[in-house]
Amino acid sequence: MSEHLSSLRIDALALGRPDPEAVRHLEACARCRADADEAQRRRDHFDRSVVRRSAPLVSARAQRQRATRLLWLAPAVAAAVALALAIVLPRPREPDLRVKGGPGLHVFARRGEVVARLHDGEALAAGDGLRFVVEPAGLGYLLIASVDGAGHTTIYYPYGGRGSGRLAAEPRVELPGSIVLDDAPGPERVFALFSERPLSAGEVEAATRAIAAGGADAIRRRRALDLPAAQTSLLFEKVER
Amino acid sequence: MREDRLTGLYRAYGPVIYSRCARLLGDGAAAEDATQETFMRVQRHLGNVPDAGQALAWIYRVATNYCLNELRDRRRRPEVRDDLGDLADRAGDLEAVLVDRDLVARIVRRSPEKVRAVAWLHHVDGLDQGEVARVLRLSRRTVVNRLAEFKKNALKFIGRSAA
Repeated sequence: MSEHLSSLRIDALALGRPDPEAVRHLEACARCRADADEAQRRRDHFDRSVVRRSAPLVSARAQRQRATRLLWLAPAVAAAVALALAIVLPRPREPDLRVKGGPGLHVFARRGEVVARLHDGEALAAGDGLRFVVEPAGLGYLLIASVDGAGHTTIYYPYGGRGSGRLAAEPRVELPGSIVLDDAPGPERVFALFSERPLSAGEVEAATRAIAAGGADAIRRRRALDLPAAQTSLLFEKVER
Repeated sequence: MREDRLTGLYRAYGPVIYSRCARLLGDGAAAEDATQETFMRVQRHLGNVPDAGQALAWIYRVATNYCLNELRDRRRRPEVRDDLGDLADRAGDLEAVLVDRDLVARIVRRSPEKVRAVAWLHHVDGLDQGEVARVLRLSRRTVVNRLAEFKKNALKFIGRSAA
């Protein structure tokens, strides 16, 4: 038997399964305690932030599944039920709900000679570089903007542009060029705004100023701008190195 | 009433599913999608299982397979390569490599599909062979064979990467 607890046992404890031996082990083992704490942080994040926006989507999907099954059983009745559900169920709101199959943003950071995928909340420093890879999911326009703790907005794509740029009709697009970060410390959030019609830089800058007015905490907390676009965002923290 | 029950199941099991998917995918947004997909596939069973142990077995099986497939699909698209330079220091020393869970995770993602779930559950999640067999509904012998196959591939991989 392993000297450490498996993630299965740690998760079972979280679901309330009694395991006194595992509890004693956690008191004595720093590595397993760290694993358990990390799992707890992820669960807490789900409870705080994810469930609120995803529970209605899950419920809606379950409703559609049942409606689809009904269609096979009794077409006339099922069609009436499906229509009623379509009227009653709220559509997922964009931009602050992420829908399965929607557009995506991947950010890659170069720190010295090392290039790696950047994850939400990671630290970067002045001089580090960023490249963007996006998944347009059929939407033809993209604008990438960021807002930092000093309240500055930068349009990253199209770089310095006055509005959204056209995207190739590909499932995955690597954007040209790379961005080199300045030395303004604190949080910076990058927003990728995908749309069917171009947005103007002016309306995006107004939306980012509204978030920046709330200070660093607002930049860390707000994941979407008040704009009619499918969005995804990523936060990083600029530090001295 | 049925929606309340479904929402109740989602609130009860969602955190653990999300934690699992986030650990596998390393990406909060992708983990949210994977959580929804996993939950939709297991929710019919969650209401009927008698205890958390069985619920977790379902969750682990579905989430692991779904997320590893997502990682496989990502690797088919061109992307900036992760840094694997530290493998050069451990070339030939498989046991030293297998102790490093982050490194093992990166090797698992590059392994043949057949061995991926078994290798991840055992070497990254720390499940013993019996637990792996129970979660994936395989015989213990199959688990042993697939772990041996994974080790063979891992040795080849670290040998190539150090070259």
